[in-house]
Amino acid sequence: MLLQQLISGFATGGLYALAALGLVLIYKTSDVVNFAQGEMAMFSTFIAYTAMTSYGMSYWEAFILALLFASALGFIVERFFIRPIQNAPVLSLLIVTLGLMMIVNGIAGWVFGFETHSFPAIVGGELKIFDAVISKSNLLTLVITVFIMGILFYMLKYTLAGIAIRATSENPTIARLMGIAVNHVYSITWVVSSILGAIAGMFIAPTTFLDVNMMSSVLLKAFTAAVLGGFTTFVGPVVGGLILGVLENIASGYISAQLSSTFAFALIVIMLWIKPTGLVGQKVGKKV
Amino acid sequence: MNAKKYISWIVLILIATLIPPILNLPGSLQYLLDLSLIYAIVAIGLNLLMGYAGQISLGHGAFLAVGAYTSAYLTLTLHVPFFIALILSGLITGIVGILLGLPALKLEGNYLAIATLGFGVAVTQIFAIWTSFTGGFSGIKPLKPELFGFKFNSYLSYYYIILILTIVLVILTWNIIRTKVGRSLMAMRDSEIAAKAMGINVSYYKTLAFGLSAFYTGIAGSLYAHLLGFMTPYDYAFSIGMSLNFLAMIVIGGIGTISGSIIGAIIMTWLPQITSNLPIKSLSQIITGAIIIAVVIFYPNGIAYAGARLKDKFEKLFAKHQEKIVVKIEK
Repeated sequence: MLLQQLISGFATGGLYALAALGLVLIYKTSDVVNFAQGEMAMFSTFIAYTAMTSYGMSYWEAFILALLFASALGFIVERFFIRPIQNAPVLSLLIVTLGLMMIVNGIAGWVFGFETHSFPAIVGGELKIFDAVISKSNLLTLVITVFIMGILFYMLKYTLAGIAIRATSENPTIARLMGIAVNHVYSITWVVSSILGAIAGMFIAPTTFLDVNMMSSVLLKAFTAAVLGGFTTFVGPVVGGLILGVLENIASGYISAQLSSTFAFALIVIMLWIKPTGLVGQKVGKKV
Repeated sequence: MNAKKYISWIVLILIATLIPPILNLPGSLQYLLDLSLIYAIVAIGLNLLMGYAGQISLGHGAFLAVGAYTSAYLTLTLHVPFFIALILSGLITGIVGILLGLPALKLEGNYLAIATLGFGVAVTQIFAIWTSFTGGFSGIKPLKPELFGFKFNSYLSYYYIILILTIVLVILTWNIIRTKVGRSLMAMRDSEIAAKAMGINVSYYKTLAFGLSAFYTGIAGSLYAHLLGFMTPYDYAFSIGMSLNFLAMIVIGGIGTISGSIIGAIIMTWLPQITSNLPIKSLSQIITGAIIIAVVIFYPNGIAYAGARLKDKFEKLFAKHQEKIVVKIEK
């Protein structure tokens, strides 16, 4: 029973972590919290759904197509909406991402309709380990999530692009002086973030069902994960996501599944009250 | 404020008073007019928080819900007269605002946006489950307001209650802005650290800003409940979508201006109505999103300010022209 709850908690938690990683990646490099991320992910998930149902593509073909779409979307959003006001105050950037959230959600409703669809899981069936019944798709989701995070952390740590991203997040001006094309870094982070969101969206859709509002609660969970772990490190959201997934799974068993967003809100408030930097976050000094 | 501005506000109030009976609008349009003013109150409250105090909130839909349900509960269950319930729901929502403001003390910018977004979602969820208070899915029916035996049954008569309250609240806002409180809020907005260094109690004013903003929204919520006549926790006005619309109102109208809040509220109330006949169901949402992005990029100070600037330009143009004429005559 405990193992079962842990695995399914880790599976959903991993997805929150993916979405949260996307948020943090952008936040660390360009100081923007992308409120549109959930809606962008929802749109990509709809692309996969349409490719499967209307054009008869297989799951993985549709999956790849959605990721391509997500990269294009991330690129366009950064290039045409965020870059023109790069140096604007936090509030302006925030409002632009909120505006994007409304636009993407509205267009999705217009193009795909407001009905709720069921989205296929990667695999069906269940697995029995000792006494625990674990769904195969949960297990596979977990494996894939870990794999993707592995790639991401490898990239961030060892590749040139990753080093550029980390340098930019430390100090954009100095990074630029060192010969890093900071604008390219922004593009890359938005593309990667959009892809991470889309993956999370497609893996969450089988449990939440697919409709235009599916990601609004997931976005809140991603925020919670990022706040729990801390917005300032790349490890933070992973830790936060996994903790949130397990906590939520246990809480929904003992308290109420209907209150999961309230639970997330309570966690955000408690965490920001006790330790605003998050569990593994570092304190960042503020310039006057 | 100069005399010219006074006169223009008085003219505006006169127009707002006289237009509805002259036009004799059909019920649905009069309802929208009532709603515009209610939303204007929310927008003014939100602008006090965002425009003057510099604190963001994505949870004002939830404050509206708190105000609406408090008022409904007071009048329906406790049989409190409407006007007392109105003030009480303002005060109670204000207290909720202060409670939310407390954790917000440590937060700013993005974090505050996240926390208030969470608050908005949480309140809707709690209200949906708390059926003994909200009536849940089957809803409740707040009564039409009554004063000295006169029942404000029609949207038109109710309009005047809302109009008077709007005027009172606008005057209150002026007085807040133009006194120590307002200046402290603005100092805090421009630089929290500098404000602190000048001896402004930042924690106090931040909490106060949340409380005041919630108070306005609570009053609007009470008015909204009695306008509706039937409501459920799933009402769009209580959702995150509406909280974003409130934000859009002040962004479009102009952050940090009272007239802008009112203009923005009117635009945002009528926009869905205008686009409702078009085949694209979510068009008003798309347009709203596009407008707020365009405003932020091209007119960061909002439409009210853009209008004022345009007027200035005209006046300058006119003044220059006059000067030239004078010069010619002299020659």
